[in-house]
Amino acid sequence: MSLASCFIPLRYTFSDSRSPMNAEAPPSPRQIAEAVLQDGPHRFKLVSYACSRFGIGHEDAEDLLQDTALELLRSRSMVRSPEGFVFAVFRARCARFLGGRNLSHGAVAKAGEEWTPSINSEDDVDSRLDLREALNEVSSACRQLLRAYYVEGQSLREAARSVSLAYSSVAKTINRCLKRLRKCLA
Amino acid sequence: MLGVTAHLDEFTLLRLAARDLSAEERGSAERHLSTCRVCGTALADLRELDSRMRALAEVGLLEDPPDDAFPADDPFRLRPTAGTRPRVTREDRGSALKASERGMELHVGILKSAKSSEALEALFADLAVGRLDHRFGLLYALQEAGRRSAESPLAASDLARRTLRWLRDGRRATGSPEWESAERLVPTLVLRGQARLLLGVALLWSKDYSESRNHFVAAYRSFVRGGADLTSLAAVELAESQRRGLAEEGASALTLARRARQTFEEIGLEDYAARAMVAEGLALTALGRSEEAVASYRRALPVFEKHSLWSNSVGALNSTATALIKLGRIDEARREFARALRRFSREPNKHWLGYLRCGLAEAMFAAGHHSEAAVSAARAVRTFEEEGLRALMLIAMLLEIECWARSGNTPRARHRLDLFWTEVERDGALDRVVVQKLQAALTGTDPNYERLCSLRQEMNDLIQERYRAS
Repeated sequence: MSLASCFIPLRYTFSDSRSPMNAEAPPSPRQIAEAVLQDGPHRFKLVSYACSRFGIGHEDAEDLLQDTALELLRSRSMVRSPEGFVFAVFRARCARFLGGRNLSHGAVAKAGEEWTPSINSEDDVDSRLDLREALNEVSSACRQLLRAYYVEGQSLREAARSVSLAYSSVAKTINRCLKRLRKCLA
Repeated sequence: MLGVTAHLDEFTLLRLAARDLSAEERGSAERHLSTCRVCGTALADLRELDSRMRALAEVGLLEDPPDDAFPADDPFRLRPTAGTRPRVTREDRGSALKASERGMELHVGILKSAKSSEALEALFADLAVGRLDHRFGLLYALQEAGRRSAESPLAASDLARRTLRWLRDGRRATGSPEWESAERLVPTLVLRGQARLLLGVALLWSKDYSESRNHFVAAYRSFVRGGADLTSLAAVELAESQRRGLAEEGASALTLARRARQTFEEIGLEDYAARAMVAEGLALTALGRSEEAVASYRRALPVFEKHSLWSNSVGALNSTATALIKLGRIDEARREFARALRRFSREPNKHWLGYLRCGLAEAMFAAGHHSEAAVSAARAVRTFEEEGLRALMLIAMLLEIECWARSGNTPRARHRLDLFWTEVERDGALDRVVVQKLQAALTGTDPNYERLCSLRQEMNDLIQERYRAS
C-alpha cells in the first residue's frame, strides 16, 4: 500500500458533490486534521502504513499520527497542501522515531524505497533525500572524493589526489561507497 | 589491465561513464559489457546515480558545511533535539480542532489590530492565556506577520512585543484544567519562540543585526524547550541565515539556509524551501560567490510565481540584479528588470511595478549609474502616487533626490526636494526641521553625500512610522 493512496478518497469524501466547482476543491487543513485525529478509515490506513512499512507498533504509530495532525494545526497558516504536509511529516516522524530507537539505517532506507508518492516532484524530493541520507553513511574520504568530482568538477584522478588517496587505492574506497549509493536507487 | 571474465567493479564503471579510462581499458571494459548482462545493468544504475549526483551538486546539496563555519559555542552549530511535550488526551484532540478553527478567524482581527498600538492594546485586553483558541489565533497571527514583515516592520515588532508582555502577565493564570490543556497543545514556550522570531525578523529591516540575533537565539531556545515542531526550528534557522548573510557571515549563513531548506523540502513546504534558497543566495553573495547566488535566486523565482508570492518574487529579482551588478553584468541586470517590468505591468500585479522600479534604481545606484537610478526612482514615485501609496512615494522621492545629487544634477535634486516638502507638508508627515537638514546637505556646489544618505535613512524610518496605521 502506498501512503499517497491513504488520502485519495478524502477528495471525494469532503468535496461537495452537488457543485462541480467544489468537486475538485482540495480538502482544507481542518478536514485533513479531522480525518487524521478521529477514528476512521484514513487514520486506520495511515497507521497501518506505518506499521507495515516502518515496523512501528500500532500505539506508537497512533501517537505519531496524532502529533502529525497537531503539527498541521499549529502550522496551518504556513501550509499550502495539507495532504502533502501530513504525508511528509508523518513519514519524517516515523523515520525519526526509528532513528531514535537506534534501529538500523537499512530499515529506514527500505521504507523509503517502498514509498510511492503520487506527484513527480515529490518523487524527486524523496530520491534526493534518500540519496543524501545514503551519502551520510559512506566514508568521509569517499564523500570528499565525490564532492571534488561532482561539485568542483575535478577529474577522478585529481579528486583522488585532493583527498590524498593514491589513484590505485581509490578503487577500493569508492567501490564500497558506490555500491552503497547504488542500493538506494534500486 | 582489466580482466575480461571478472565482473567490472563500480569504480571502473564510474570511470567508464566519466570517460576516464585509457583506450585499452575502455576497449576491454566494452568487450566485457557486450557479453555480461549483470555489468550492463550495473552500468545503467551507475549512470542513473551519476545523473542524480549531478542534480544534487547543481543545487548545492552535495556540499558539506566547512568545519570552521561555526564557532564551538554557536547556539546554531547543530540543531538541538526538541524537548518532549506532555501527552495529549483524547479530549484535547477534539478541542484542538474547534480551537484551531476559531483561531483562524481570530488571527485576521489580530493582524488588523496590529496596525495601531491602541487597537492592539484593546485586543490583548480581551485575550486570555488559558484559552486555546486565543493561543491558536495568536500563533497564526505571529506566523503571518512574519511573512508580511516587509510591509510594516514596526507593526510586526509591536505585535511581537505585546505578545511577550501578554505571556509574562499571563503566568499568574496557570493551573486550571483549561490552561493545562491549552499548554499541552500550544505551549507558552512555542508562542514565546514565535514572538521572539517575529521580533528578530522585524529588527532585520532596521539593520539591527546584533539585537535580532539575540531574539533568534531566544526563539531557538524557547522552541527547543517547548518541544516545537521541526518547522519552527527551521523557520528560525532561515531567519538567522538571512541575518548572517546580511551581516556578511556567509559560511554559517549558507549552512543554516541549507539545513532549513532540507527540512522544508522534507515536509513539503515548497514556498519556504524557496525562501531558504534566497537565503542561500544572500549567503553566497556574502562569500563572494555571486554566480552561484544568481543561480539560487533564479531557482526560487518560479516557486514564488507559482504561489503568487509577489513580494518574495520582487525581492528575489532585486537580489538577482544586485548579484549580477557585483559580477559586473549590468546589462543582464537591466534585462532581468525589463523582463520583470513587462511581466508585472499587467493587472492584477501592476502595483508591484513601483517596488521593481525602486529595485532597479537601487541596483543602478549601487553600480554608480546615478542618472539612470534617478530616472527609475522618479518612475517609482509616479507609480506609488497612482496607487495611493504615499509613504512609499515619499521614500522613493528621497532616493530620487540623492540620485540626482550624486549624478551632479544638484539643481534638479533641489527642485525635487521642494516637491518633496510640498507632499510632506500636505500630510504633515515630517517635521520641517528634518527637511531643512536635507536642504542644508544639498547647499553649495558640493553636496555632503554621506550626510544626505544618513538623513535619507532617518527620514525613511520616520515616514514609515508616520504612515504605519494607513
